[in-house]
Amino acid sequence: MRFIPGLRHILLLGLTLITVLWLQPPHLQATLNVADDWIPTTAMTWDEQYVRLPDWSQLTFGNLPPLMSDGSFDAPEEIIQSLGYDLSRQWTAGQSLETVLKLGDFQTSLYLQLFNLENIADIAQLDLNQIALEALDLASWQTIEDLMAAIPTLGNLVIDQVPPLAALVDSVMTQALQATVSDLTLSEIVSQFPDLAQESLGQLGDQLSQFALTDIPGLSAAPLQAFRNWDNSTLAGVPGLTSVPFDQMPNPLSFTGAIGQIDIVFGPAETQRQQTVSGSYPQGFQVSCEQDCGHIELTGLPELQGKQWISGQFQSVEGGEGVLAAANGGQEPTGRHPFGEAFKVVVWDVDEGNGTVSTAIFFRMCQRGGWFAPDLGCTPYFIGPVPFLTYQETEFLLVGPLEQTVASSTSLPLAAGVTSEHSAAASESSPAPFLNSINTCQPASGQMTTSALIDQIVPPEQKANFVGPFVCDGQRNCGRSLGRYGLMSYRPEVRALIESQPGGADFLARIDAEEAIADEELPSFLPLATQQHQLQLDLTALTQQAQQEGLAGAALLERVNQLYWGGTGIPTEAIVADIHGKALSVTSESLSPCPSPLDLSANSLEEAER
Amino acid sequence: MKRLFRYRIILLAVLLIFVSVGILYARSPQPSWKLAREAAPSDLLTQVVADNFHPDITVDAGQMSVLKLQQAGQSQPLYLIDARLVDSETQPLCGAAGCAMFAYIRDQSVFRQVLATYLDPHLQPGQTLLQPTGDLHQGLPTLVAMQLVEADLQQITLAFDGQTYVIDRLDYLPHE
Repeated sequence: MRFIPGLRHILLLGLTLITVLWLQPPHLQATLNVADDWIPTTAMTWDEQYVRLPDWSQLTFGNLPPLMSDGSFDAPEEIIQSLGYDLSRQWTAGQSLETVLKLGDFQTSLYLQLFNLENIADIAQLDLNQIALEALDLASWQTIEDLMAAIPTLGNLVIDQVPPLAALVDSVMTQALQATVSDLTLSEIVSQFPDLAQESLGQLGDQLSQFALTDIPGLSAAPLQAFRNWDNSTLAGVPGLTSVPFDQMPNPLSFTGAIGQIDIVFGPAETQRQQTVSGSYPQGFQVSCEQDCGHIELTGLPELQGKQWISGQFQSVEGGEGVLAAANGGQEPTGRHPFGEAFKVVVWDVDEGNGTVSTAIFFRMCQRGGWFAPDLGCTPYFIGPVPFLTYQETEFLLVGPLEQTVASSTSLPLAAGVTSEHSAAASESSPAPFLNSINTCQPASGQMTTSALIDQIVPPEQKANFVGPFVCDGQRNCGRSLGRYGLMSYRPEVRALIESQPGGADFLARIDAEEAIADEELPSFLPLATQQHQLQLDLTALTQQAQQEGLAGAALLERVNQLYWGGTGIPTEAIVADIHGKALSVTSESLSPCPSPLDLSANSLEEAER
Repeated sequence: MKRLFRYRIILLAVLLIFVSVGILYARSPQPSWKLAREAAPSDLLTQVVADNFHPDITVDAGQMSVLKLQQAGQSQPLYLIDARLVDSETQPLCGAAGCAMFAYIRDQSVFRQVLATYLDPHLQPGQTLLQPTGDLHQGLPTLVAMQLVEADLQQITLAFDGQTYVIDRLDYLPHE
C-alpha cells in the first residue's frame, strides 16, 4: 500500500509539470495572438462581408498592449549638443508605450502638441485641481522666462498669486530680498532680477508634488507646444493624455484606402515573392522578397488579386527620413500604413497550418524642426512590436491606400518637340542625362538606377493614376494634378504629352471643362513612364542650374532636391518646409548617389542645423 | 395721416440701416492683397529678397503680393507676403512644395520674419489660400491657410506665439 502514495506523488508531480509547461509564458510569436482580446474592434460591412477594424473611439495609448521586445536608440553627441537635450531612449519588453513615446514623435501625425491640459481633462474627465504639478513632465524644465512666454498673462500677476513660482523665488532669494518683491508682478521682478528668469521649476524637486496644476494660472489653457522642449515630454508625462481615444486626437486616426481579403497564409519557407504590397515610405510599398517570405496572399479587389503582404518578422526594409533615418541600421519591418504615418502595421506571425495571421504595430521617433529649427527627421519604425489584430483566412483587413505598380515596360509616347534622345531617358538601362553628373560612385559600389535616384528626390507617395480635383492657382492657371508627381494639366509640356496620345485632346478638353475623370482613365493618356519622362526633363533643367553653381555628386543631388521642392530662386542654405513645419527638401546626408549606408557624421548635423 | 406717419417710420428705418452699414464698412475695410511696391515699405522688400532669394537671382520684389494687416488692438502692422510675382512667366520661389509665403513685423530698425512656409496655391474656386480670421493672439492676427491634401481640404489656423506663427488648430472641411 506504500506504493500507492508514491504513485500519487509521481502523478501529482507529473500533473504539476504538465500544468507548469502548459501555462508557461509562451514564445514571443505566440503571445501576439492574445492581442485580439485587448484590441476593441468595430464591424464594417463591405461587399456583404464583415471587416473588423480597430475601434478608435475606445483605443488609447494607455490601453494598447505593451511593447513585446527590448530596444534602444543612442543619440550621437552631436545631436545632443545641437538640441540641448538627450534624444536617447531605451525600452524593455513589457513596457507600456506611453512611457517610451514622446509628444514630438507625433508632431506631424496626431498633432498632440495642439492640445492644452483643459482639452485633455475634458476628454479624460480629470479634475486638474487634484493633479500635482509634478505629473506634468515638462513643467520641471520650464524656467520662469519660459512660463511667461507660454502664458502671456502670467507676467501681470503678483508673485504670491503663483504659489509654485513664489516658492521658487523664496528658494533662491534671501529673506530680505523676498520681502522687497512680494508686492511686485512677475514681469517687474524679472526686469529687476534678470537672472531669476532662468531659474527652472525643476529646482523645487519634491516640492512640485505639493502644488496643483491650477496653481499656475493659465497653465492649463496654454497649448502644449507653447512650452519649451515640449516635444521631449513622454506621453505619460501629460496628465490624461494616455486616456484620450485616438478618434479624439487633434488629427484623429481614421480609415483610408482599400480593404482586402486574406486568401491564403504562407509560412516562412516561401521564397521569391515579387508581387508585394508591403514595404516602407522610402522604398515604396512593392518591395520584393527573396527568402523567408512568410506572407498573406490577398484577394478581393482586382488590384489586390494574388498580391503578397510579407511578414515584417522576416523581412526588413529601409525606413526613416533625415538624419535620424540612420537609427536601427536604417531598417524597419516591412509593412503598410492603413492608418497614416503615426504607426506602421506589420504582418507578424504567419501560421500556415491553421491559416491564421497576427499583425503588430511599430512606432518611430521624430525630431521635427519646423520653419526655424533643424529638422532631424524620423527614425525607421522600429519601436515595437505591439500586438494588434489577428485574422484568419477568408477574413477581410484594411490594406490602406494602394499604389499602382511601376510599369517599366509601358511604351513612352513622344510629344511634339520631344526627341527620341529624351525619351530614352526613361529607360532603366540608360541613365538620364542629369544623372551622369550625379553618379560619381566608385565602380565597386555600383551605381543607382534612374528610378532609385528619382525616388530619393521625389518619394513615391502618390498613386501613379492619381487624378486630383479641379483647382486653380490664383494666377489664372486651372487644371487637375495628374499622376505620381502631381503634374498639373495646365502645363504646356504636360498637355503636349497627353495630346500626343489617341483621344488625348478630348481627354484634355474634358479636364478643362471640369468634367469628372476616373483614375483608371489616366494611364491611357499619361502612363507612369511618361510621367517619369517629364519629371526627368524637369530635373535635367534643375541639374544644369546646380552644375552652373559648381556643384557635383551628393551636393549636386541635394541642390537639385532643394530646387525641385522650393523653386529655382531658393538659397542654398534654405530648408523647404510645408505649413506643418515638415521639411520637404532633404540634406545631403539623406541623399546618396551611391548605394551605400547612411551615417551620422558631424558634417551632416551641421547641415541639418542650417 | 396715420399712414403717412407709418411711411416716414419705414423710410427712417431704411435710412438708418444704410447709414449703419456704411459706417461699419468704412470702419473695417476688408484688407486686400496688393502689389508689394504699393503696400510694403521698400526696406522690407529689400530684406525679403536678402533673406529668401538666392543672391544670384535678380528679382523685382515689387511684383510680389502683400497683405498689410492692422486690426483694432494690433500693436503694429503685420505684412503677409506671397512670393509669387504677378504677371511673370517665372516664379523663383515656387516648386513642388508650393509657393513661399512669409510674414514680417517691424522689430526696431529691421523687420523680423515670423512666418516662412510653403503653401500649395492650388485650391478649388472660391477658396482662399491665406487670410486673417479677425482675431488677435499675442498682439498679431490669427491666420487661416487652406490646403488640399489629396481628397481632403485642410483648414489650418495659425496663431502668433510671441516668436513665430505656430499651428493652433487643424480642421478638415467638406469639399467637392
